[in-house]
Amino acid sequence: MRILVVEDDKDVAGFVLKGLREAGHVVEHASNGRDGLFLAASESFDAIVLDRMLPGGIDGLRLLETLRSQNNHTPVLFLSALAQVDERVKGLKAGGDDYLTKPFSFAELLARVEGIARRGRGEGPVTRLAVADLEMDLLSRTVRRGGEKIDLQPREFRLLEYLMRHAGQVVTRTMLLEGVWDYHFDPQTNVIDVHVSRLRQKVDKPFPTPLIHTVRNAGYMLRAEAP
Amino acid sequence: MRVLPVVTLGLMLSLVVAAPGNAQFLFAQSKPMEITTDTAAYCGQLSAQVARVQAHTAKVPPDVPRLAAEGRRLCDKGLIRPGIQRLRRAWTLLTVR
Amino acid sequence: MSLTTTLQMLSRGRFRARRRRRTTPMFRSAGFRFGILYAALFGLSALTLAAFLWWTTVGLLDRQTDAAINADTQGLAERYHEGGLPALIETIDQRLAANIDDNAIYLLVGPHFDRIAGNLNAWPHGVTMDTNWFELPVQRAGLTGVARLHEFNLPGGFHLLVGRDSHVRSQLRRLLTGALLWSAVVALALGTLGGALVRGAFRATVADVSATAAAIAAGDLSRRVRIAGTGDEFDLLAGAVNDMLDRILRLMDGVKQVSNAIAHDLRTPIARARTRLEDAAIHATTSEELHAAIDRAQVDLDGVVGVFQAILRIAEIEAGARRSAFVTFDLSALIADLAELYAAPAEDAGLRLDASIQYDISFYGDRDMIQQAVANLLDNAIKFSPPETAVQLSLAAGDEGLRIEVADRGPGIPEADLARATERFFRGEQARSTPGSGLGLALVQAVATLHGGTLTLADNAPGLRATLALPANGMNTAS
Repeated sequence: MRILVVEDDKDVAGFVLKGLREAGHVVEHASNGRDGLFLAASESFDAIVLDRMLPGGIDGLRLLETLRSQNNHTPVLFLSALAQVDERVKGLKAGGDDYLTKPFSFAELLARVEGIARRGRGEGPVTRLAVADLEMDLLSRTVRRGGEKIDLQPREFRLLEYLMRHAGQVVTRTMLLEGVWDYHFDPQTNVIDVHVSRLRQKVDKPFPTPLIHTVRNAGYMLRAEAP
Repeated sequence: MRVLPVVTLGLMLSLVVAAPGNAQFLFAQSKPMEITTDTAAYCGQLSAQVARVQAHTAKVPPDVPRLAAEGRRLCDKGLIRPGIQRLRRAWTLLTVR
Repeated sequence: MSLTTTLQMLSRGRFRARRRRRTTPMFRSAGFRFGILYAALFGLSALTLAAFLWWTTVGLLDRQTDAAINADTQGLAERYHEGGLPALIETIDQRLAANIDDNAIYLLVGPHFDRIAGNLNAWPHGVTMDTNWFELPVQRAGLTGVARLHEFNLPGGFHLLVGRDSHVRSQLRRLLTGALLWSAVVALALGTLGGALVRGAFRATVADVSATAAAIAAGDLSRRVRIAGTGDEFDLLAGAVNDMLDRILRLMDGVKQVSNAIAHDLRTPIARARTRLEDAAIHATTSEELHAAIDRAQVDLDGVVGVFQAILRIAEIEAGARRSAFVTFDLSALIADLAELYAAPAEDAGLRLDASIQYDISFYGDRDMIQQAVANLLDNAIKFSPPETAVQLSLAAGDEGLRIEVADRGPGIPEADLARATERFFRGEQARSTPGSGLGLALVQAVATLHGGTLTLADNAPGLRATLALPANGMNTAS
C-alpha cells in the first residue's frame, strides 16, 4: 500500500516510516502541513497518517478539511498528543477515519492504518467470509470449519466475524473492544483475552492447526499459518 | 425606576411656572399705586354716605348708629382703617335689607 | 487550568481594588454613589410633596381671587349696560362702601385715562388695552402689597380696572417658601446622613469580601466571607463567593493530591523500567535477554501512560467538559452488555456473575463514561473476589432515581478507609499487592458527580457493596 505520513517530530516519523516499510508498504513523508497537503492532493495514497499539530501554518485539521473539500476521500488516521475526548470528536468530525493518541504502540498504528485502508477500498456487502477451512455465512449466521458446524453465541460470532474481516492483519485489544463491543475505554483486566480464548476453544481446539494467533505486545491475528 | 425622578422634576417645574397664573407682573412701576379708600377723606365721605342713607331709612337696625359712631370716633383719633371698617359694617347692615 | 485563571482573576481584582482605594476619592466609590442616590431620591420626594402643597393652597387662592374678580367685572358691566355711567359710578361707590374685607380695588377712567371713580389714585403706567390680567404693587395705608387686577374695556372708550389685594396669598407664599427652605435643609441633612449610612453599610460588606479575597490571594485559603444571616442580597453574594472558594479549595486539594501521587506512585514504575533497561544494557549477554528486558520495560511504561490517561480523564470529567457528549441511551442494554462482557472473565476466575437488570431504563448522560465507571466497579469486584463466590450486578429504578450496584464477597474495605477509597491513588492494604493504579474508584466518583449522582461504598458483610446512584432521567431533571 502507498501510505503518506505527515509528522513533524523526527523520531516519531522515523519510527513510523521504518515500521511501515518493514511491513511492506511504500511510504512518503512530509514534515509540515504545506508539503503534506501538496503531496496528499497531487498523488494518490491508500491511507494518510496525519499529525494534529504541524508547523507551517496548516495544521492537521485544516489539511484534512481542505483535502475533503476537494473531494479527496483518502482514509486518514489522526495521530495526536491531544487525548481529550473532545479533540478526538473534533478530529473525526473533520473527516478523520480513526484517531490514535500518542504515545502509541507501532502494532496499534499498523493495525489501524491497514484497517482504514481496507475499509477505504470499499469491498461492498459480503455474505460469506472464508479463511483456510473456516467458513462463515453471514446470512444464515452459521460457522463451519472443515465442513463441521461450530455453535457460537452471538457475541462470539461477532468477534470471529471481526477477526475474519481483518484476516492477515494484527487486531489489537482496543480495536476489538471498539469494533465488537463498541466500548471506548481501557478495562483493567484482560476481558478481551478471556473472550478470545473462549472463541479459540470452539474454533481452534478441536482442529489440528490453529487459526487465531496471539501477536506479542500487540493483539491477535487470524490467518492460515503462524505469523 | 429611572423615569420617575424625571417625571417628578418636570411636574414641579411646570408648577413653578404655572403658579402665578396667566397674569403679567407690572413691577416696572417704580412707585406702588396708592389706594384712596383708606384715607381720612374717604372716612368722611363714607360717614356722610351712611348718614344719608340712615336718614332715608325707616327702620334702622339697632347696631347701625353705634357702629357708625364708633367708626367716626376711630377716624377722628387717626385709626383710619378700623374706623372705615366699622362704617362699612354699618353700611352693609343698612343696605343689605 | 480553570484554577489558575480563577486565582489570577482574584489577585488581579485585589490589586485593582487597592489601586482604586489609593488614588480615587469618594466620587468613584459605589457606596458614595448609593448615598448620593439615596439623598437625591429623599430630597426629590420632599420637594414633590412641597410642590403639591403649593399647588393646592396658593393655586386655589389664586383661582378663587380670579373667579371673584371675574364675577365683579361682569356685574359692573351689566350695571353700565342698564344704567349707563351714573349707575356704574354709584355701584362702584356702593361696592367700595360694602367692602368690609378692605381688599377691593376699582378704577374707572375716561377715554383719556382721567379718573372718574374708584379707589386707585391713577391709571397705572404700562397698562394698555391688551393687558388683560396683571399684578401690581399697591400701597394701602402706607403698607405695600401686591394686587391682582383685571382690565376691562367698556363701550364709549371707558376703561375699568377691577382687582383684589393678594396679601393673604403673599403671606402664604412667604410661609410656604420658608417651610420649603427649612424642609430642604432637613431633607439635605437627612439625605446626607442616610447616604452616609448606606455607604457605610455597603462599604463594610464589600470591604469584608475584598479583605477575604485579598487574604485568599495572599495564601490563606481558609478565609470565608462573613454571612450576616439576614438572608439579604449581600448574604446571597457572600454565599456564592464562599461556594466558589470551597470549590477552588477542593480543586486545589485535588491538584495537590495528584502532584503528591505523581511524585510517589509514578516514580515506582518509571524507576522500575529504568532499572530494567540499565540492568539489561550492562548485564544482558544475549539478544534474547535484551529483548525480554525491553519488552518488560515497555509494559511498565505502558502502565505509566495508562495512569496518565486515567488522571487526565478524571480531570476532564471533573472540569465538566464532557457534558457536550450527553445523549439519551438505553442504560439497561448497556448494563446487560457489560454483564455479558464480564461474565466470561468472572467464570475464568471461578466466580459467578449474577446480574439482575430492570429493563427499559433510559438515561441521559455520557454513555462511554457510565460504561467505564461500571466496568471499573466490575474489574475491582472480580479482582478482589475469592473463588467460588458470586459478584452481583444490579440495575433498578426507584423513587429516588436509578441505582447501579456491584457487590462482591472479597475482603472489602476497612471502615476507616471507606471515605478515602475514592481519592486518587488511594490503595488499601489488601490492594497493595494487586496490580492497579488506585484510580478506578476515583474515576467512578468523578463520573457520578458529573451526572449529579453519588457513589456510595458500604460493607457487604463480607465484601464491598458499591452503589452508583443517579438521578432518574439523568441531568435532564437535575439541571
